Amino acid sequence: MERFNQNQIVGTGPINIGIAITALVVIAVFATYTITNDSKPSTDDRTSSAPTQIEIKNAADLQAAENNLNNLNFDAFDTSELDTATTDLL
Amino acid sequence: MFSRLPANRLLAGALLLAIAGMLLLPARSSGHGINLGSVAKIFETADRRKAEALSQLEKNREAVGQKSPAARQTACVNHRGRLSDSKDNLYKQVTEQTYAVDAIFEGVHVFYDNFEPETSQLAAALKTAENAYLSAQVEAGALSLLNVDVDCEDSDVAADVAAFSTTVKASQKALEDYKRAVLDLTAAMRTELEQTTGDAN
Repeated sequence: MERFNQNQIVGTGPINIGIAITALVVIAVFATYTITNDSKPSTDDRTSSAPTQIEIKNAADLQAAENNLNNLNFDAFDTSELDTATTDLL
Repeated sequence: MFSRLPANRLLAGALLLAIAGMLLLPARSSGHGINLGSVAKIFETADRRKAEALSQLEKNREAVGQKSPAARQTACVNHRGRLSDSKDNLYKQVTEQTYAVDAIFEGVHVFYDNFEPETSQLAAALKTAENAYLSAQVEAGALSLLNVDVDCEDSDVAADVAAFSTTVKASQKALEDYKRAVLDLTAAMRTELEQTTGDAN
């Protein structure tokens, strides 16, 4: 008895390759589009939501960067609602 | 290593990370962007947190008893709105704060590269900051993977919530370390500037 159907393998191989090539083309087109548009801040969602890089030219700028860092406070991450729910959902 | 995360979520996470990588990496002129090893670590961290949360959930159930499916679902529905709001807020906070430190570190790193210091102390401070940066990105990435909808049909929904909570706390710690490392780097650079150029301003 044949352990596999050769026609199936011959038939599906090119299809799989076709899907893989199509997927790679889609990813390549998307990546090219994304990278090309990365130089256009007005249309880039990332730059509209994230702070842009801070330019530092001298010691005074370094001091300003330090001040900005010191103003960042991570104490407001309040997980109490999550922790209460965790014990209530056993 | 990904055994506890459903395949569709892994695929979705991989696509998200690939897209995020395409969006973020070209902008990183200073060359300390996320590499493939870090992406693997993000998945590993998320998977580990979920596994730990499931293990802790089982221990808690053994200690205090397991709720009936109906009671759990009722409690879950009661919590769902506040839980979703809380998770959304926390995710936004972690993401924004990470971006904020990143923006400063990017500038410091570019200045460092242009400055070209030769002291081993500064090189070590930069390395520490880069490691702290990667740790913060790993936590933020893991948080993204664990930021799933509150599924009240899932008997282990508490584990999803707990894993997210644990990762928020880990993100907080990572951000503190990241901030401290960049502060140490900037302080060391200012000292070096004062010694080499007399620029104390």
